[in-house]
Amino acid sequence: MPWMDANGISIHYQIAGNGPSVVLLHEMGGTLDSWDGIAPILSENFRVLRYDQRGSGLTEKVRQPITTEQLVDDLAAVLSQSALPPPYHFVTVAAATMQALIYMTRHPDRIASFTFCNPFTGADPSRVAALNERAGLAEREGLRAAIPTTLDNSWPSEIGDRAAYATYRGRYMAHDPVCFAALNRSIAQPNVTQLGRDIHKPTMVVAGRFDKVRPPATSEQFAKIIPGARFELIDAVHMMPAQAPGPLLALLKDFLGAQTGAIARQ
Amino acid sequence: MKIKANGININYQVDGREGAPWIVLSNSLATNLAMWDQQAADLKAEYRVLRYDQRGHGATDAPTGRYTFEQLIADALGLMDALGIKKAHFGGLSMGGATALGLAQKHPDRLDKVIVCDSPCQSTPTSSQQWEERIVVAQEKGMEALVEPTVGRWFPPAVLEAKPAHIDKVRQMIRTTPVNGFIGCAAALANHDYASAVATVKRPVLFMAGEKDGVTPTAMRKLSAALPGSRYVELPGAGHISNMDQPEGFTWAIADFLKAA
Repeated sequence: MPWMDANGISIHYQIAGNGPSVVLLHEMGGTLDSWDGIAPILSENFRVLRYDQRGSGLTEKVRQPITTEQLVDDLAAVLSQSALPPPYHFVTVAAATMQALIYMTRHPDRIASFTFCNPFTGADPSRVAALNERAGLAEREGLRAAIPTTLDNSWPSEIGDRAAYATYRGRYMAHDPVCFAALNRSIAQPNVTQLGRDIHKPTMVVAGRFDKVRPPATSEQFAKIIPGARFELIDAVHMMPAQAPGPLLALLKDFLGAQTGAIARQ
Repeated sequence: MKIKANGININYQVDGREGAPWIVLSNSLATNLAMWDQQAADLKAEYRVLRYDQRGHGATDAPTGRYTFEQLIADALGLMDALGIKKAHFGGLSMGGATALGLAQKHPDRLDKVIVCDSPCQSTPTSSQQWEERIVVAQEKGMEALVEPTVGRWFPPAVLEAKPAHIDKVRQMIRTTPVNGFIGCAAALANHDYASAVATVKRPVLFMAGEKDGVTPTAMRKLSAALPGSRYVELPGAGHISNMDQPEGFTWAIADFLKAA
Protein backbone atom coordinates (compact mmCIF):
# COMPACT_ATOMS: atom_id res chain seq x y z
CA MET A 1 0.00 0.00 0.00
CA PRO A 2 2.65 2.63 0.72
CA TRP A 3 2.75 4.02 -2.82
CA MET A 4 0.07 5.51 -4.99
CA ASP A 5 0.16 6.93 -8.48
CA ALA A 6 -1.22 10.43 -8.09
CA ASN A 7 -0.97 13.53 -10.25
CA GLY A 8 1.26 11.65 -12.64
CA ILE A 9 3.92 10.45 -10.20
CA SER A 10 4.42 7.64 -7.72
CA ILE A 11 3.94 8.95 -4.20
CA HIS A 12 5.10 7.20 -1.05
CA TYR A 13 2.70 7.69 1.83
CA GLN A 14 1.51 6.32 5.12
CA ILE A 15 -1.87 6.40 6.81
CA ALA A 16 -2.32 5.25 10.38
CA GLY A 17 -4.89 5.45 13.13
CA ASN A 18 -8.55 6.29 13.38
CA GLY A 19 -10.26 9.53 14.27
CA PRO A 20 -10.36 13.05 12.85
CA SER A 21 -8.15 13.48 9.80
CA VAL A 22 -4.68 14.98 10.27
CA VAL A 23 -2.41 15.80 7.33
CA LEU A 24 1.31 16.22 7.99
CA LEU A 25 3.31 18.14 5.38
CA HIS A 26 7.06 17.93 5.77
CA GLU A 27 9.62 20.68 5.18
CA MET A 28 11.76 21.07 2.11
CA GLY A 29 14.71 18.72 2.56
CA GLY A 30 12.60 16.49 4.76
CA THR A 31 10.65 13.32 4.15
CA LEU A 32 7.66 11.68 5.79
CA ASP A 33 10.17 10.34 8.30
CA SER A 34 10.53 13.88 9.61
CA TRP A 35 7.32 13.06 11.50
CA ASP A 36 8.58 9.86 13.11
CA GLY A 37 8.42 11.41 16.56
CA ILE A 38 4.93 12.81 15.99
CA ALA A 39 2.85 10.58 13.72
CA PRO A 40 2.81 7.32 15.71
CA ILE A 41 1.54 9.05 18.84
CA LEU A 42 -0.95 11.30 17.05
CA SER A 43 -2.34 8.25 15.29
CA GLU A 44 -3.54 6.93 18.64
CA ASN A 45 -6.31 9.53 18.43
CA PHE A 46 -6.35 10.65 14.81
CA ARG A 47 -6.23 9.28 11.30
CA VAL A 48 -2.85 10.57 10.25
CA LEU A 49 -1.63 10.94 6.68
CA ARG A 50 1.94 11.76 5.80
CA TYR A 51 3.74 11.41 2.50
CA ASP A 52 7.01 12.10 0.76
CA GLN A 53 6.55 15.14 -1.41
CA ARG A 54 7.48 15.22 -5.07
CA GLY A 55 11.18 14.56 -5.49
CA SER A 56 11.69 13.63 -1.81
CA GLY A 57 12.12 10.40 0.12
CA LEU A 58 10.74 7.39 -1.69
CA THR A 59 8.45 9.41 -3.92
CA GLU A 60 9.26 9.61 -7.60
CA LYS A 61 12.18 11.76 -8.67
CA VAL A 62 11.48 14.05 -11.56
CA ARG A 63 13.61 15.94 -14.04
CA GLN A 64 11.24 18.82 -14.66
CA PRO A 65 11.03 22.04 -12.68
CA ILE A 66 8.76 21.81 -9.62
CA THR A 67 6.24 24.52 -8.78
CA THR A 68 4.36 25.23 -5.59
CA GLU A 69 1.09 24.87 -7.49
CA GLN A 70 2.18 21.44 -8.62
CA LEU A 71 2.91 20.46 -5.03
CA VAL A 72 -0.63 21.58 -4.18
CA ASP A 73 -1.96 19.45 -7.04
CA ASP A 74 -0.02 16.54 -5.56
CA LEU A 75 -1.56 17.22 -2.17
CA ALA A 76 -5.07 17.39 -3.63
CA ALA A 77 -4.55 14.14 -5.52
CA VAL A 78 -3.14 12.37 -2.47
CA LEU A 79 -6.09 13.51 -0.38
CA SER A 80 -8.57 12.37 -3.03
CA GLN A 81 -6.95 9.00 -3.49
CA SER A 82 -6.23 8.17 0.13
CA ALA A 83 -9.91 8.09 1.12
CA LEU A 84 -9.11 10.46 3.97
CA PRO A 85 -12.35 12.19 4.91
CA PRO A 86 -12.31 15.97 5.36
CA PRO A 87 -12.17 18.27 7.15
CA TYR A 88 -8.40 18.19 7.60
CA HIS A 89 -6.22 19.32 10.44
CA PHE A 90 -3.11 20.43 8.57
CA VAL A 91 0.25 20.48 10.28
CA THR A 92 2.91 22.03 8.10
CA VAL A 93 6.57 22.86 8.39
CA ALA A 94 8.19 25.84 6.71
CA ALA A 95 7.54 26.03 2.95
CA ALA A 96 4.82 23.36 3.07
CA THR A 97 2.71 26.07 4.68
CA MET A 98 2.28 27.55 1.21
CA GLN A 99 0.71 24.32 -0.02
CA ALA A 100 -1.82 24.23 2.79
CA LEU A 101 -2.77 27.88 2.28
CA ILE A 102 -3.28 27.45 -1.45
CA TYR A 103 -5.27 24.28 -0.83
CA MET A 104 -7.46 26.37 1.48
CA THR A 105 -8.28 28.73 -1.39
CA ARG A 106 -9.44 25.76 -3.47
CA HIS A 107 -11.36 23.94 -0.75
CA PRO A 108 -12.14 26.25 2.15
CA ASP A 109 -14.80 23.80 3.34
CA ARG A 110 -12.26 21.03 3.82
CA ILE A 111 -10.16 22.77 6.46
CA ALA A 112 -10.55 21.94 10.14
CA SER A 113 -7.47 23.70 11.53
CA PHE A 114 -3.91 24.72 10.78
CA THR A 115 -0.73 24.28 12.72
CA PHE A 116 2.14 26.09 11.04
CA CYS A 117 5.61 25.24 12.29
CA ASN A 118 8.17 27.90 11.37
CA PRO A 119 5.93 28.94 8.50
CA PHE A 120 7.46 30.05 5.24
CA THR A 121 4.85 31.77 3.10
CA GLY A 122 6.88 33.47 0.41
CA ALA A 123 10.45 34.33 -0.44
CA ASP A 124 11.77 37.80 0.13
CA PRO A 125 12.75 38.97 -3.38
CA SER A 126 16.25 39.60 -2.08
CA ARG A 127 16.54 35.92 -1.13
CA VAL A 128 15.61 34.47 -4.51
CA ALA A 129 19.15 34.77 -5.85
CA ALA A 130 20.47 32.81 -2.87
CA LEU A 131 17.86 30.08 -3.40
CA ASN A 132 18.87 29.77 -7.05
CA GLU A 133 22.52 29.76 -6.12
CA ARG A 134 22.26 26.89 -3.67
CA ALA A 135 20.00 25.05 -6.11
CA GLY A 136 22.68 25.33 -8.76
CA LEU A 137 25.34 24.25 -6.30
CA ALA A 138 23.42 21.12 -5.33
CA GLU A 139 22.79 20.32 -8.96
CA ARG A 140 26.39 20.72 -10.02
CA GLU A 141 28.22 19.34 -7.02
CA GLY A 142 25.70 17.33 -5.04
CA LEU A 143 24.07 17.68 -1.66
CA ARG A 144 27.31 17.64 0.29
CA ALA A 145 28.39 20.87 -1.33
CA ALA A 146 25.07 22.49 -0.51
CA ILE A 147 25.07 21.58 3.18
CA PRO A 148 26.92 24.71 4.39
CA THR A 149 24.24 26.95 2.88
CA THR A 150 21.29 24.75 3.74
CA LEU A 151 21.26 22.23 6.59
CA ASP A 152 24.04 23.95 8.53
CA ASN A 153 21.69 26.95 8.81
CA SER A 154 18.42 25.15 9.32
CA TRP A 155 19.77 22.66 11.85
CA PRO A 156 23.16 23.62 13.28
CA SER A 157 24.77 20.35 14.30
CA GLU A 158 25.51 21.48 17.84
CA ILE A 159 21.81 21.85 18.68
CA GLY A 160 19.68 19.02 19.94
CA ASP A 161 20.03 15.28 20.10
CA ARG A 162 23.11 13.83 18.35
CA ALA A 163 21.41 10.72 17.06
CA ALA A 164 18.39 12.63 15.79
CA TYR A 165 20.69 15.02 13.95
CA ALA A 166 22.74 12.21 12.43
CA THR A 167 19.60 10.46 11.20
CA TYR A 168 18.21 13.65 9.78
CA ARG A 169 21.46 14.56 8.06
CA GLY A 170 21.67 11.09 6.57
CA ARG A 171 18.24 11.36 5.01
CA TYR A 172 18.94 14.93 3.91
CA MET A 173 22.10 13.91 2.10
CA ALA A 174 20.21 11.13 0.35
CA HIS A 175 18.08 13.62 -1.56
CA ASP A 176 18.34 13.59 -5.30
CA PRO A 177 20.34 16.77 -6.03
CA VAL A 178 18.27 17.66 -9.08
CA CYS A 179 15.00 17.41 -7.19
CA PHE A 180 16.51 19.18 -4.21
CA ALA A 181 17.45 22.01 -6.55
CA ALA A 182 14.02 22.04 -8.17
CA LEU A 183 12.38 22.25 -4.73
CA ASN A 184 14.63 25.12 -3.71
CA ARG A 185 13.64 27.00 -6.84
CA SER A 186 9.96 26.18 -6.34
CA ILE A 187 9.63 28.08 -3.09
CA ALA A 188 10.62 31.36 -4.74
CA GLN A 189 7.01 31.61 -5.97
CA PRO A 190 4.35 32.57 -5.07
CA ASN A 191 4.10 34.74 -1.99
CA VAL A 192 0.96 33.72 -0.14
CA THR A 193 1.57 35.53 3.13
CA GLN A 194 -1.58 37.61 2.76
CA LEU A 195 -3.73 34.47 2.62
CA GLY A 196 -3.16 34.33 6.34
CA ARG A 197 -5.80 37.05 6.68
CA ASP A 198 -8.36 34.78 5.02
CA ILE A 199 -8.01 31.95 7.51
CA HIS A 200 -11.23 31.41 9.40
CA LYS A 201 -10.31 28.19 11.19
CA PRO A 202 -8.44 27.60 14.43
CA THR A 203 -4.77 28.19 13.77
CA MET A 204 -1.63 27.74 15.80
CA VAL A 205 1.73 29.11 14.74
CA VAL A 206 4.71 27.46 16.40
CA ALA A 207 8.07 29.17 16.17
CA GLY A 208 11.43 27.62 16.95
CA ARG A 209 13.61 29.71 19.23
CA PHE A 210 16.76 28.57 17.41
CA ASP A 211 15.40 28.91 13.89
CA LYS A 212 17.81 31.11 11.95
CA VAL A 213 16.01 30.57 8.64
CA ARG A 214 12.60 31.75 9.85
CA PRO A 215 13.32 33.69 13.00
CA PRO A 216 10.58 33.62 15.67
CA ALA A 217 9.81 37.28 15.07
CA THR A 218 8.88 36.50 11.47
CA SER A 219 6.61 33.67 12.52
CA GLU A 220 5.01 35.83 15.17
CA GLN A 221 4.41 38.55 12.62
CA PHE A 222 2.63 36.04 10.40
CA ALA A 223 0.57 34.78 13.34
CA LYS A 224 -0.60 38.32 13.97
CA ILE A 225 -2.29 38.64 10.59
CA ILE A 226 -4.26 35.41 11.11
CA PRO A 227 -7.54 36.13 12.89
CA GLY A 228 -7.47 34.61 16.37
CA ALA A 229 -4.28 32.62 15.83
CA ARG A 230 -2.43 31.18 18.79
CA PHE A 231 1.30 31.75 18.86
CA GLU A 232 3.77 29.46 20.61
CA LEU A 233 7.53 29.58 20.95
CA ILE A 234 9.46 26.39 21.70
CA ASP A 235 13.10 25.38 21.81
CA ALA A 236 13.54 24.15 18.27
CA VAL A 237 15.48 24.66 15.08
CA HIS A 238 13.92 25.11 11.65
CA MET A 239 13.32 21.37 11.18
CA MET A 240 10.98 21.38 14.13
CA PRO A 241 9.19 17.99 14.03
CA ALA A 242 12.43 16.07 13.59
CA GLN A 243 14.45 18.06 16.10
CA ALA A 244 11.88 18.87 18.79
CA PRO A 245 9.10 16.28 18.48
CA GLY A 246 8.35 16.25 22.21
CA PRO A 247 7.48 19.93 22.70
CA LEU A 248 5.67 20.09 19.36
CA LEU A 249 3.66 16.98 20.17
CA ALA A 250 2.60 18.45 23.49
CA LEU A 251 1.30 21.55 21.71
CA LEU A 252 -0.43 19.49 19.04
CA LYS A 253 -2.17 17.32 21.60
CA ASP A 254 -3.43 20.39 23.38
CA PHE A 255 -4.43 22.30 20.25
CA LEU A 256 -5.94 19.43 18.26
CA GLY A 257 -7.49 17.96 21.37
CA ALA A 258 -9.26 21.24 22.03
CA GLN A 259 -10.59 21.33 18.43
CA THR A 260 -11.77 17.77 18.26
CA GLY A 261 -12.28 16.40 21.75
CA ALA A 262 -10.33 13.41 20.43
CA ILE A 263 -7.84 13.65 23.27
CA ALA A 264 -8.80 14.06 26.88
CA ARG A 265 -7.18 17.34 27.83
CA GLN A 266 -4.69 17.08 30.63
CA MET B 1 -40.52 -1.99 -2.31
CA LYS B 2 -40.70 -4.36 -5.21
CA ILE B 3 -41.04 -3.82 -8.89
CA LYS B 4 -41.13 -6.17 -11.87
CA ALA B 5 -38.03 -5.87 -14.04
CA ASN B 6 -36.28 -8.25 -16.42
CA GLY B 7 -38.85 -10.93 -15.59
CA ILE B 8 -38.38 -10.99 -11.82
CA ASN B 9 -39.53 -8.99 -8.80
CA ILE B 10 -36.67 -6.78 -7.67
CA ASN B 11 -36.60 -5.38 -4.16
CA TYR B 12 -35.24 -1.85 -3.94
CA GLN B 13 -35.09 1.20 -1.74
CA VAL B 14 -34.81 4.87 -2.63
CA ASP B 15 -33.43 7.54 -0.33
CA GLY B 16 -32.88 11.24 -0.97
CA ARG B 17 -34.94 13.96 -2.53
CA GLU B 18 -36.61 13.84 -5.90
CA GLY B 19 -34.73 15.65 -8.61
CA ALA B 20 -31.28 15.04 -7.12
CA PRO B 21 -28.83 13.12 -9.33
CA TRP B 22 -29.33 9.36 -9.14
CA ILE B 23 -26.75 6.99 -7.78
CA VAL B 24 -27.47 3.27 -7.96
CA LEU B 25 -25.70 0.90 -5.56
CA SER B 26 -25.40 -2.80 -6.30
CA ASN B 27 -24.59 -5.36 -3.60
CA SER B 28 -22.03 -8.14 -3.35
CA LEU B 29 -22.64 -11.88 -3.23
CA ALA B 30 -24.42 -13.11 -0.09
CA THR B 31 -25.31 -9.62 1.11
CA ASN B 32 -28.23 -7.35 0.25
CA LEU B 33 -29.12 -3.70 -0.05
CA ALA B 34 -28.63 -3.26 3.70
CA MET B 35 -24.88 -3.38 3.09
CA TRP B 36 -25.26 0.21 1.86
CA ASP B 37 -27.08 1.58 4.92
CA GLN B 38 -24.26 3.94 5.87
CA GLN B 39 -23.58 5.12 2.32
CA ALA B 40 -27.29 5.77 1.73
CA ALA B 41 -27.46 7.78 4.93
CA ASP B 42 -24.38 9.79 3.97
CA LEU B 43 -25.18 10.35 0.29
CA LYS B 44 -28.90 11.01 0.45
CA ALA B 45 -28.45 14.70 1.26
CA GLU B 46 -27.05 15.33 -2.21
CA TYR B 47 -28.10 12.32 -4.26
CA ARG B 48 -31.14 10.22 -4.90
CA VAL B 49 -29.84 6.86 -3.81
CA LEU B 50 -31.30 3.72 -5.35
CA ARG B 51 -30.12 0.44 -3.95
CA TYR B 52 -31.52 -2.96 -4.73
CA ASP B 53 -31.13 -6.61 -3.90
CA GLN B 54 -29.33 -8.37 -6.71
CA ARG B 55 -31.06 -11.36 -8.31
CA GLY B 56 -31.31 -14.18 -5.80
CA HIS B 57 -30.49 -11.92 -2.85
CA GLY B 58 -32.43 -10.23 -0.08
CA ALA B 59 -36.09 -9.97 -1.00
CA THR B 60 -35.56 -10.08 -4.78
CA ASP B 61 -36.77 -13.24 -6.54
CA ALA B 62 -34.34 -16.13 -6.50
CA PRO B 63 -35.00 -18.34 -9.51
CA THR B 64 -33.21 -21.68 -9.68
CA GLY B 65 -30.33 -22.25 -12.01
CA ARG B 66 -27.01 -20.66 -12.87
CA TYR B 67 -27.18 -16.93 -13.48
CA THR B 68 -24.96 -14.90 -15.77
CA PHE B 69 -23.59 -11.37 -15.54
CA GLU B 70 -25.59 -10.57 -18.66
CA GLN B 71 -28.65 -11.23 -16.50
CA LEU B 72 -27.36 -9.18 -13.58
CA ILE B 73 -26.68 -6.29 -15.94
CA ALA B 74 -30.11 -6.64 -17.55
CA ASP B 75 -31.65 -6.64 -14.04
CA ALA B 76 -29.98 -3.33 -13.19
CA LEU B 77 -30.97 -1.82 -16.50
CA GLY B 78 -34.52 -3.17 -16.18
CA LEU B 79 -34.80 -1.66 -12.72
CA MET B 80 -33.62 1.72 -14.01
CA ASP B 81 -36.16 1.49 -16.83
CA ALA B 82 -38.98 0.51 -14.51
CA LEU B 83 -38.22 3.47 -12.25
CA GLY B 84 -37.83 5.87 -15.15
CA ILE B 85 -34.14 6.54 -14.55
CA LYS B 86 -32.51 7.60 -17.78
CA LYS B 87 -29.03 8.13 -16.43
CA ALA B 88 -27.34 7.45 -13.10
CA HIS B 89 -24.04 7.16 -11.34
CA PHE B 90 -23.62 3.45 -10.74
CA GLY B 91 -21.56 1.83 -8.02
CA GLY B 92 -21.14 -1.69 -6.80
CA LEU B 93 -18.97 -3.85 -4.62
CA SER B 94 -17.48 -7.21 -5.60
CA MET B 95 -20.26 -8.83 -7.68
CA GLY B 96 -21.91 -5.40 -7.76
CA GLY B 97 -18.61 -3.88 -8.89
CA ALA B 98 -18.36 -6.25 -11.84
CA THR B 99 -22.01 -5.43 -12.58
CA ALA B 100 -21.09 -1.75 -12.65
CA LEU B 101 -18.10 -2.24 -14.96
CA GLY B 102 -20.13 -4.54 -17.21
CA LEU B 103 -22.87 -1.92 -17.45
CA ALA B 104 -20.28 0.72 -18.28
CA GLN B 105 -19.05 -1.43 -21.16
CA LYS B 106 -22.43 -2.50 -22.51
CA HIS B 107 -24.63 0.53 -21.78
CA PRO B 108 -22.42 3.60 -21.37
CA ASP B 109 -25.27 5.89 -22.46
CA ARG B 110 -27.18 5.03 -19.29
CA LEU B 111 -24.37 5.75 -16.87
CA ASP B 112 -22.71 8.88 -15.63
CA LYS B 113 -19.83 8.02 -13.30
CA VAL B 114 -18.95 4.47 -12.37
CA ILE B 115 -17.67 3.13 -9.04
CA VAL B 116 -16.15 -0.32 -8.99
CA CYS B 117 -15.19 -1.69 -5.58
CA ASP B 118 -13.36 -4.78 -4.41
CA SER B 119 -13.65 -6.69 -7.64
CA PRO B 120 -10.95 -7.81 -10.07
CA CYS B 121 -13.88 -7.97 -12.54
CA GLN B 122 -12.83 -11.30 -13.94
CA SER B 123 -12.80 -14.93 -12.91
CA THR B 124 -9.66 -17.03 -13.05
CA PRO B 125 -9.37 -20.83 -13.30
CA THR B 126 -8.67 -20.88 -9.56
CA SER B 127 -11.55 -18.59 -8.58
CA SER B 128 -13.94 -20.51 -10.85
CA GLN B 129 -13.01 -23.73 -9.12
CA GLN B 130 -13.50 -22.13 -5.69
CA TRP B 131 -16.96 -20.93 -6.68
CA GLU B 132 -17.91 -24.41 -7.85
CA GLU B 133 -16.72 -25.82 -4.52
CA ARG B 134 -18.75 -23.26 -2.59
CA ILE B 135 -21.80 -24.05 -4.73
CA VAL B 136 -21.49 -27.66 -3.61
CA VAL B 137 -21.24 -26.61 0.05
CA ALA B 138 -24.36 -24.43 -0.30
CA GLN B 139 -26.27 -27.25 -2.00
CA GLU B 140 -25.29 -29.89 0.54
CA LYS B 141 -25.09 -27.95 3.80
CA GLY B 142 -26.93 -24.71 3.24
CA MET B 143 -25.76 -21.15 3.83
CA GLU B 144 -24.95 -21.66 7.51
CA ALA B 145 -21.90 -23.71 6.53
CA LEU B 146 -20.61 -20.79 4.49
CA VAL B 147 -20.99 -18.11 7.17
CA GLU B 148 -17.72 -18.43 9.11
CA PRO B 149 -15.46 -19.37 6.18
CA THR B 150 -16.81 -16.37 4.30
CA VAL B 151 -16.43 -13.98 7.23
CA GLY B 152 -12.89 -15.25 7.73
CA ARG B 153 -12.09 -14.55 4.11
CA TRP B 154 -13.73 -11.14 3.89
CA PHE B 155 -12.53 -9.44 7.05
CA PRO B 156 -8.91 -8.78 8.00
CA PRO B 157 -7.81 -10.27 11.33
CA ALA B 158 -7.52 -6.82 12.90
CA VAL B 159 -11.12 -6.02 12.00
CA LEU B 160 -12.35 -9.38 13.30
CA GLU B 161 -10.47 -8.86 16.56
CA ALA B 162 -12.09 -5.47 17.09
CA LYS B 163 -15.52 -7.13 16.75
CA PRO B 164 -17.31 -4.18 15.16
CA ALA B 165 -21.11 -4.45 14.89
CA HIS B 166 -21.05 -4.81 11.12
CA ILE B 167 -19.55 -8.31 11.25
CA ASP B 168 -22.70 -9.75 12.80
CA LYS B 169 -24.77 -7.82 10.32
CA VAL B 170 -22.79 -9.44 7.50
CA ARG B 171 -23.10 -12.88 9.13
CA GLN B 172 -26.85 -12.41 9.16
CA MET B 173 -26.91 -11.32 5.52
CA ILE B 174 -24.92 -14.39 4.46
CA ARG B 175 -27.08 -16.69 6.57
CA THR B 176 -30.32 -15.35 5.10
CA THR B 177 -29.23 -15.36 1.45
CA PRO B 178 -31.40 -17.82 -0.50
CA VAL B 179 -29.39 -20.90 -1.47
CA ASN B 180 -30.74 -20.61 -5.02
CA GLY B 181 -29.56 -17.04 -5.23
CA PHE B 182 -26.12 -17.85 -3.89
CA ILE B 183 -25.70 -20.70 -6.33
CA GLY B 184 -26.99 -18.67 -9.25
CA CYS B 185 -24.71 -15.70 -8.58
CA ALA B 186 -21.70 -17.83 -7.64
CA ALA B 187 -22.07 -19.45 -11.06
CA ALA B 188 -22.05 -16.00 -12.66
CA LEU B 189 -18.91 -15.10 -10.70
CA ALA B 190 -17.26 -18.32 -11.86
CA ASN B 191 -17.50 -17.11 -15.44
CA HIS B 192 -17.10 -13.41 -16.08
CA ASP B 193 -14.61 -10.99 -17.53
CA TYR B 194 -15.01 -7.24 -17.72
CA ALA B 195 -11.32 -6.66 -17.06
CA SER B 196 -9.99 -7.54 -20.51
CA ALA B 197 -11.94 -4.77 -22.20
CA VAL B 198 -11.61 -2.23 -19.39
CA ALA B 199 -9.77 0.20 -21.68
CA THR B 200 -12.92 0.54 -23.82
CA VAL B 201 -14.88 2.14 -20.98
CA LYS B 202 -15.88 5.69 -21.85
CA ARG B 203 -17.23 6.77 -18.48
CA PRO B 204 -15.18 8.16 -15.57
CA VAL B 205 -14.38 5.26 -13.24
CA LEU B 206 -13.36 5.11 -9.60
CA PHE B 207 -11.73 1.82 -8.68
CA MET B 208 -11.60 1.24 -4.96
CA ALA B 209 -10.37 -1.65 -2.87
CA GLY B 210 -9.75 -2.49 0.75
CA GLU B 211 -6.02 -2.62 1.41
CA LYS B 212 -6.42 -6.05 3.03
CA ASP B 213 -8.69 -7.51 0.37
CA GLY B 214 -6.23 -10.22 -0.70
CA VAL B 215 -4.93 -9.78 -4.23
CA THR B 216 -7.80 -7.49 -5.22
CA PRO B 217 -5.88 -4.22 -4.70
CA THR B 218 -3.16 -5.42 -7.08
CA ALA B 219 -5.72 -6.44 -9.69
CA MET B 220 -7.64 -3.18 -9.36
CA ARG B 221 -4.53 -1.05 -9.54
CA LYS B 222 -3.90 -2.76 -12.88
CA LEU B 223 -7.47 -2.10 -14.00
CA SER B 224 -7.02 1.56 -13.20
CA ALA B 225 -3.65 1.70 -14.95
CA ALA B 226 -5.28 0.21 -18.04
CA LEU B 227 -7.97 2.89 -18.11
CA PRO B 228 -6.43 6.35 -18.45
CA GLY B 229 -8.28 9.00 -16.49
CA SER B 230 -9.68 6.53 -13.98
CA ARG B 231 -8.98 6.91 -10.29
CA TYR B 232 -7.73 4.26 -7.87
CA VAL B 233 -8.33 4.51 -4.15
CA GLU B 234 -7.15 2.06 -1.54
CA LEU B 235 -8.85 1.98 1.85
CA PRO B 236 -6.27 1.45 4.60
CA GLY B 237 -7.04 -1.46 6.89
CA ALA B 238 -10.24 -2.44 5.08
CA GLY B 239 -10.96 -5.94 3.78
CA HIS B 240 -13.32 -7.17 1.09
CA ILE B 241 -16.42 -5.42 2.38
CA SER B 242 -14.51 -2.16 2.35
CA ASN B 243 -17.58 0.06 2.58
CA MET B 244 -18.45 -1.41 5.96
CA ASP B 245 -14.89 -1.69 7.28
CA GLN B 246 -14.08 1.94 6.46
CA PRO B 247 -17.43 3.65 5.88
CA GLU B 248 -16.18 7.21 6.32
CA GLY B 249 -13.30 6.92 3.92
CA PHE B 250 -15.39 4.92 1.47
CA THR B 251 -18.22 7.42 1.34
CA TRP B 252 -15.84 10.35 1.17
CA ALA B 253 -13.95 8.79 -1.74
CA ILE B 254 -17.25 8.42 -3.62
CA ALA B 255 -18.42 11.94 -2.78
CA ASP B 256 -15.08 13.40 -3.86
CA PHE B 257 -15.07 11.38 -7.09
CA LEU B 258 -18.63 12.36 -7.99
CA LYS B 259 -17.83 16.04 -7.43
CA ALA B 260 -14.56 16.00 -9.37
CA ALA B 261 -14.61 17.79 -12.71
